[in-house]
Amino acid sequence: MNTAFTIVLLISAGVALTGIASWLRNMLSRPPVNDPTPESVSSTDGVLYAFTTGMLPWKKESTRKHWLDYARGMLFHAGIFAGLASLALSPWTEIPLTFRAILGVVLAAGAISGLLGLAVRVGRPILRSLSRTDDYLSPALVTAFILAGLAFVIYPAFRAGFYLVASAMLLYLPFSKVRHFVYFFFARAYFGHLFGHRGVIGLAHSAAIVSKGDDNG
Amino acid sequence: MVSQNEQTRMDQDVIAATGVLKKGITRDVATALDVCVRCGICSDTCHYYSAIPNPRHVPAYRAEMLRRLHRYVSNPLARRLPGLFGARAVTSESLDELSESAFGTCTLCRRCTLNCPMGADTALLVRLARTVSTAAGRAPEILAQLADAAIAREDNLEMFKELLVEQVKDLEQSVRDVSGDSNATIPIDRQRADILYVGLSGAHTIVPPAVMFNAVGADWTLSLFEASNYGVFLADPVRAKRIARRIYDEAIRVHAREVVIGECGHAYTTMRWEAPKWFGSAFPFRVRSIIELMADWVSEGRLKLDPRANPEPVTYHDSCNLGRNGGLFEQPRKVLRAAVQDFREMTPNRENSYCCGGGGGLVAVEEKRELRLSVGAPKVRQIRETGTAIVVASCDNCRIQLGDLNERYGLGVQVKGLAELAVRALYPEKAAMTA
Repeated sequence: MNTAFTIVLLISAGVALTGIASWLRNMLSRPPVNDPTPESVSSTDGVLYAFTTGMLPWKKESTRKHWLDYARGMLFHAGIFAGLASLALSPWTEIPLTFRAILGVVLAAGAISGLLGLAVRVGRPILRSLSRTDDYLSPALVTAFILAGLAFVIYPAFRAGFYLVASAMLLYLPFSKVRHFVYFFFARAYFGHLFGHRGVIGLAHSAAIVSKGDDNG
Repeated sequence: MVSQNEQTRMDQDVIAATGVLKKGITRDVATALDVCVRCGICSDTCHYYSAIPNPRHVPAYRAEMLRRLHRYVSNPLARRLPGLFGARAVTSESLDELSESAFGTCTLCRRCTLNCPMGADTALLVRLARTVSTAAGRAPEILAQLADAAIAREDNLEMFKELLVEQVKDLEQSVRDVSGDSNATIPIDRQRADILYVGLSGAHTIVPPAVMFNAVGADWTLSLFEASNYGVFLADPVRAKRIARRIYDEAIRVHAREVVIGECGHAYTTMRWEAPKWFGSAFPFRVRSIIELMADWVSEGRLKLDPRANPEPVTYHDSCNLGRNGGLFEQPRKVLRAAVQDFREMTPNRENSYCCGGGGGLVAVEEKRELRLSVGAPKVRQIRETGTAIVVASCDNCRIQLGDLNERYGLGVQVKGLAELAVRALYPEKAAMTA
């Protein structure tokens, strides 16, 4: 029985990977960004900033103001990674108890964050106006995956159920907004390159502003 | 009832818009299109939403209008399941709405981009939405007229040159009156000058810089053209490039080592950061803003400013194009600290500054006047909190908007340019006489 579910899971993972590769190929087939202008400060510094201190929640007004939403999002993503880790470890029957406990806590936090996120999306008029059906379906599927991971960590006998839910999520992934993770790294890199190149952001730039002691909001 | 001709025109618009939409997807655009998760965290980073909390003013909502059309055009599954994946056909109606959103409710200030946890460049998408709308004949008429007028000036250059020479004689007298230097000049068409200075239409962007050029003994010449580029506001690559080419060609013709742009946000960003991309290579001359030159002159001691000429409290408005899009934050502050006695920062400032609401060509679009005055509310609040008497803006569009906000909200401030204040501090005795 478990073998059948494992095969379904592997096929789904193959579909997901093929889909992601296809989106990536599509994006990379587009004309590249060609900026011949001499840089003002450093695009490399900007990219470094974008992937390091620029991601700290207190660095942006938006995440300072909406820190609860931001924290919820971070926990949700931690839950996803814990779910993927559980999936990777699932073929081995003996997962150490301490590790299972840690995974369980992160998965529980991720699942609660996922459910809260769905409630917020349904409840806030602004988010409703932005949303299409996929904006509910994608987080619902991912939350179900995290919950299934949690169930598996608590009851390893639930492996087949975990595989089934994971397969559903993986099959839907290439068509859904979940694929944003593919673009995330490119978007941050473009962001850092653009604003670093022009001297708007950067590790050195931030330090210089702070040293001047002016209120930068 | 739509006539046959009208229907044909609408069909042609849809075909043109679809073609431009397909062609406009570069790697960074493709990334911005697919990275957004519609978390809505960008909502109150936008001055439109801050002033008028309507879902339509959420940056992600604006971008979503383009995303829906893009999905319909490029994703067969989304075309079959539009409700699930958010797709919308390119039609006359959807193009009308796209155009209204792109030209009417976004100044391309990029405050949302800087605040997006994913790094989604919404302004890039709104710019593409403008390109699509322009191709479909849905850009505001006034922006198209102003762009075409700039192109026509080149086509009738000899006539305009004669007019400019006449006007410059009067401006030269103003420069002499301000500086007391009877030898002060405004050279035109001077070969091998170090600097080709490109101002805007209007003496206020020519006289104060000319006073300073003469004071520091700069080797310069005045451009025959104005720096404004309404092709950029239209996001029309053909017109934008043609307008930029006039300055490029002139710089090559006079063998200038450097092109210096007057106090204008979009003109600086265009020539410094955008135009070389259209030409496919870096320019063979340097491009700077007059602000950068002034800051250098202050640092080098060539521009000796007396802050006692400007005793009133002064604040600085970071133009989105000069600051967030251009990287010029410290240079105007260096000049201001040398030129005024009481400089006060707005909060937030620099890359976090609020747009005044006049960017993206909006000040030229009369139908949007009420809306742009409403969405200037966050800037008004910022200015009020400083308790200053003078607001300095180094962008002409910002100055127009701030002047209108001053009137509408009864701020009781004066709106001035950076060069104007610097010239007062350069000749304090004249400032005292005119005070």
